[in-house]
Amino acid sequence: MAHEVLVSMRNIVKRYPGTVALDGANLEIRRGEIIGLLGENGAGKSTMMKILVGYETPDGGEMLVGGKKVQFRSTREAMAYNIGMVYQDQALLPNLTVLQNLFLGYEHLFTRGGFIDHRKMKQTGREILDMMRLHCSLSDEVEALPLSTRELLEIGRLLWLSEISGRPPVIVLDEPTTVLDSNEIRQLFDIVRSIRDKAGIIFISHHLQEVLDLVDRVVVFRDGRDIASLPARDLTVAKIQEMMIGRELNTEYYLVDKQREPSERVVLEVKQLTVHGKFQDISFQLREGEIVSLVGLDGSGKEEVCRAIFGALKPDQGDVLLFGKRLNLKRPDLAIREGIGYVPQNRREEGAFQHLDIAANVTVTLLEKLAKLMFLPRKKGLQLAREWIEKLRVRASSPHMLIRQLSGGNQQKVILAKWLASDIKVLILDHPTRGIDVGAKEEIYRLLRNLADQGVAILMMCDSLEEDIGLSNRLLVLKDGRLTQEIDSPADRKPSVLEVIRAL
Amino acid sequence: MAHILKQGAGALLGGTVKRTAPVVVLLMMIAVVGIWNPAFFQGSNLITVLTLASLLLMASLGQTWVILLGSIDLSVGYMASMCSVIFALLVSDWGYGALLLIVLIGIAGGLLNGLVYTMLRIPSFIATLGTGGIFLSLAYVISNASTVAVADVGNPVMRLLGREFLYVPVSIGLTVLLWAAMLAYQNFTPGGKKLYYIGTSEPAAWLSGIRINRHKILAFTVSGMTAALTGVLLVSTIYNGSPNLGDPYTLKSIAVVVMGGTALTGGVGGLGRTMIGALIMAILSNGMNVVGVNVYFQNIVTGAVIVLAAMLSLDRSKIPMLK
Repeated sequence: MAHEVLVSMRNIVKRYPGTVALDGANLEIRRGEIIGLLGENGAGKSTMMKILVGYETPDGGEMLVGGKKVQFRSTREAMAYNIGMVYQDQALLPNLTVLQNLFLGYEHLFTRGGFIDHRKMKQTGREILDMMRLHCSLSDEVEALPLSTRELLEIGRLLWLSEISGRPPVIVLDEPTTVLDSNEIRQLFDIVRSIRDKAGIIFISHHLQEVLDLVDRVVVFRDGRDIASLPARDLTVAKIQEMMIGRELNTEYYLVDKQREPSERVVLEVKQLTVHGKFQDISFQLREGEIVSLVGLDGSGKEEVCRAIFGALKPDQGDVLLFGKRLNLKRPDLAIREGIGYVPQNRREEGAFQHLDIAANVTVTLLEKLAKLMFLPRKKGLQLAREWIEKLRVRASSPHMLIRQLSGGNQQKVILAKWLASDIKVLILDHPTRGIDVGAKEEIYRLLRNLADQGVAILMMCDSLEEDIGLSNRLLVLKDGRLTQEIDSPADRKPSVLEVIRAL
Repeated sequence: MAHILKQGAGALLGGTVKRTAPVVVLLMMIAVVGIWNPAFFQGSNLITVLTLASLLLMASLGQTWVILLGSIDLSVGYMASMCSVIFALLVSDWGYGALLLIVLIGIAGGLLNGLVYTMLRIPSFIATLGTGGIFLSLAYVISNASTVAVADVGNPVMRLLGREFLYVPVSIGLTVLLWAAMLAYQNFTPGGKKLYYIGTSEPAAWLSGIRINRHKILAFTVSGMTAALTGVLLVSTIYNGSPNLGDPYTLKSIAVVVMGGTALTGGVGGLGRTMIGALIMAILSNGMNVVGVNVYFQNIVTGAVIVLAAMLSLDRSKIPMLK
């Protein structure tokens, strides 16, 4: 049963360049209650948690811990209040031992006269291992341990830290079950239930049935706000899915009327593509003028599939054929030569050359083509850049501007320009509108439609299922590294977001 | 103030300031030294300055590209030493053949650096330190740990190097010609531009289809070659070679590149800047002599200028963790 309120987050606002991540979100965490935090990617739940544990600072709203107003400037400050998170990507240091990791940063609690009392440390360490029912040894190096053990160690560490502070802890578990098998999940749930009374626990997961099994209350986030907070016993998986989605597909926004039927000609054929540990046996075809969207949860392997097709990730098995010709997938330049382009998700580090100007960014893949007898005067690059700035309506005063001075949307346009200026047959886009404002998104949709009209085959992954459905002719569903389903998305009969979410 | 120190002034200074600062410094220095002691402008002194500058420039040519890529070549000085010994030994008997051999040795050594760096994936700092040690040892072994005098000072190659065309010594001309050729490659060919792309962001360069290893190997090969030619130039000034003669040029080449305005983080700068850097260093050194600064104090001044230049050009937003 739920006891006193440990943390109260009210009207939290958080903005990032180009988007509003949280728009007046609220959350109340009570002792003795396990909350299941749900919502699509981009709904705001991760950002909310980052603010809770001090990893980010809010732009508006307030947070009260134990009735007192607080403002965390770091995760350490939050830890002082006993609020901590077990992250999805491991936060342990792999080259250190279990013992070293458990007490990392808190060794001063075991000192006597300036020296560490190792006996006491080991004793406490063993107690933690027992509590978490772990069988590893304190001297084991963390990198040799399975991910599930590491996770339980992190939880054990948080619990211990909370005990020594004497204050009931708030623990956030971010997708803890992705690395666990069913036995380990049961074990985890037992442990979580056993500490329920002492703490406030937030459980984040995409596996809705699991959530319903464990939690007392479900909070659903959508569009940067908490839109529902209901007892778990009143809910079913289907009801939650409905709450997560909400609105009708905006067909105008995605220019669905401009969606064209692809021709019969197969441009790209992927055959039994496999990268061990990431995805297996992926086979599909891409036709001229077709837009295909890959959908799947985190870890489904869709990003890796795209990188493999582009030659940025070497496949262990399988082939990729372009117009029937088998491609050499060793390096990106081989794929580029054949006419495949790739727009990476990480715009800042992989997509653009931040410290170079627009002209340089536009011409990077065209250098040899523009040069005459190895000679390439700067003028040509500038001229080309000016052309594309105009064509794509990039808001920049001159091609000399450094790309980092442009907004996210305009940067993306410049990145797209470099592919549009080459003679590409296939364009692969990894979350192309991430961090881009609404207006720029629309312009990019228009660009993609034009590209498809010209016969280019497009393979992409978007930030929201709506975008995937709205833009594409077809959706390919990936689950745990396998292609499980194909969903048609014709202009006159678009599938509902609910339909797609059920397939994931 | 603390903000500037934290970010690295390079991230904050406007492009124009960063671009013109080295030139401004150069002009200021000429003015200061010239006013203090007009003997600076005497013909013979100017030739001295330019000779010094061309020596520094030659050593820094390849280093510029290496640093532009974001790596470093610590074997420059040792390569120069080793080649000074070999050249001094052979030039009297082999003539132009000795010159050709030096070029080949430089290319081979640079290639070794490039391959160790790209194929064995050893950080350039360590790789070139290692190969530099090999060159150093070879220098000692070949010279028998002693100075090697040029046997026949009047031989054609030495005479050529010492000659002057229109008052300009051939050694200076050779350096400037090489600089100009490399500058043309750097600024006007796809290969040259790729140096900047790689130095700015290797992941983005990789995903744009640039074959990174190829260009890294080229830069190190060129650096080896220019370091080797530095050894030749050294012999042409004092008519002998020795196993330590070129050692100071490792640090000097880095200093020249950084002072000119090429960032150690890569992606910014180039050979044009290095020319300015070489002139600054040469005038600084010569100027301090002309003005009468204590020799030992000169090292302090040089060091201070290097730190200042690095501080102004470094863009710390490009270095995640300062190592």
